Amino acid sequence: MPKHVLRLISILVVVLVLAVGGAHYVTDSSFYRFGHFRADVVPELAAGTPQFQGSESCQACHDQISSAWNEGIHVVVQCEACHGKAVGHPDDKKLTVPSDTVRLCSLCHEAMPARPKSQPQIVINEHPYKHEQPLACTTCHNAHTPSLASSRGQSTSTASSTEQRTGPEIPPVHSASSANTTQPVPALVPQCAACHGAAGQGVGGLLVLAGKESGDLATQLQQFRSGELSGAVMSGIAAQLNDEQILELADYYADLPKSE
Amino acid sequence: MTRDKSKTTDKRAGNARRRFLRTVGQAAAAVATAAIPITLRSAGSTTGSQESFPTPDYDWSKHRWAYGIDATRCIGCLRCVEACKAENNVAQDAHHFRTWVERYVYLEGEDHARVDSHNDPDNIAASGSEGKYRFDNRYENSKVDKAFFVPKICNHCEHPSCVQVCPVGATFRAKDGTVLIDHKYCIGCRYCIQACPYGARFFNAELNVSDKCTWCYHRITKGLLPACVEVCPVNARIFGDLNDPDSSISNFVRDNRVNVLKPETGNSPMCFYKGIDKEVR
Repeated sequence: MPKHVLRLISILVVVLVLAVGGAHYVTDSSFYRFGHFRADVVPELAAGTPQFQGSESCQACHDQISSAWNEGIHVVVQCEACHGKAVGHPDDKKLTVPSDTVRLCSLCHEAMPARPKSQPQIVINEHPYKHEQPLACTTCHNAHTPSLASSRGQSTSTASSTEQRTGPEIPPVHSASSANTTQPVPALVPQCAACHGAAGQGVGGLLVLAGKESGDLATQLQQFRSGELSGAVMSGIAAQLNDEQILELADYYADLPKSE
Repeated sequence: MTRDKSKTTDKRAGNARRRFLRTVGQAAAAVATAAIPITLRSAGSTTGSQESFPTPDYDWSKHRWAYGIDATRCIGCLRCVEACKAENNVAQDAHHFRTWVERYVYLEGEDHARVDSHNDPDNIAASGSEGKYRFDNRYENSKVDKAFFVPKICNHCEHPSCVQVCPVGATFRAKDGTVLIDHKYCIGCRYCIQACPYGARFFNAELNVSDKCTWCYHRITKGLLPACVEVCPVNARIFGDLNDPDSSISNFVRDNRVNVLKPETGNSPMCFYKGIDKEVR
């Protein structure tokens, strides 16, 4: 073999050996184990710590809220969707109770063209009717079981879930016929108390009923019923009242002492 | 005379060529022999590993993950985007994200949809910060003909173009169907970001590598759902194992007429969509 060819071949062989040896040296030992990638990265990626712990993990300590939540319409909303990731809680981290509920709740419930019609939605500025200062959603709604009635501990189990999904639920007035014969006022009051306070004292200076003129209260209820006044919540409630019940309620609240 | 001479030259040249080819052939055979151990090593370990991989409790060869998106249910609350960032430590600005939600709005008299996502400047203004996400109500007073939200995420394709173009084997499709990135091997060339037809990848400037959704690999290998699926309040996101005929994803694919995005690319996505419109790509 001519000398120059031999030289060329030996150079090629040296380069080849260097290339193969070098590649072998720098390539991770797990690289071709399953294919053209480093197999060891898979256990590395699988080893991360989950940050969201799931709602079941909340149950052990927050059993009361959990069981209420479990029976309500908001059971589809996981705890951490509103309270944030629970990793490290309770040992190292306190979870937040959302303070600005209007902002938080409106993420899902602000009326918006692209939202499916089945989603309960409200026009914030008109709900339930315009306030001088916006009230927290939790004034009237229990965030964990959001319906006006259940926030006061009334049973709403008769309402089917599809009915609940169509909008803010107005609990049925306790059967009007029996209400007339027994004690109508106590039966209806819890429904008012959900928003107007247990003693009609209102919330933050708003929605006060206690100590108002009986006639004014009755007139307003009648106007809500007739449609002269409109309010997303009150119109629905007033529509289910008869004249007698309106007068009884108005008298009841007029007799209550004003707060302060 | 001239003809004879050329004949002899041809013969000599032919011998030289034969010799040369023989030498090259031998050299090639030697290299091939040297390569055999490498091939054997990879083949040997594949057949030899009977134990579960990648973790003792999770065998990736037993799963075939898939993702479902029910666009008819999405309410655009963006809990998924926020949860994904918290779960996977994604940069807290509006422009880096592993999953996102698009809003499609057809106004009356318009042929094409107006599309925006959480990183739209007006939506950032509505949320008040780049670390919080919300859709503004810009169409509140418009005449809207049709509107809907579409959640988007890496499609974890069966034939991923991002894997095909990676020059260093830093991204790959795992046996369980997830498309993953090896941040140690990634050289940050961003070829995969260009190659993905769905815009599902982004550049992680902090680590100088490509980044993308892993279907929360650290969660699904422990029997948990991906964070976005976990927090979705309306079940618009579905995740599960196609190997299990009773899983939520098997039922979702079976019970609905589902689509994939851009089927013409041949990527064969493993994210199945219900209720998307012609303009959703």
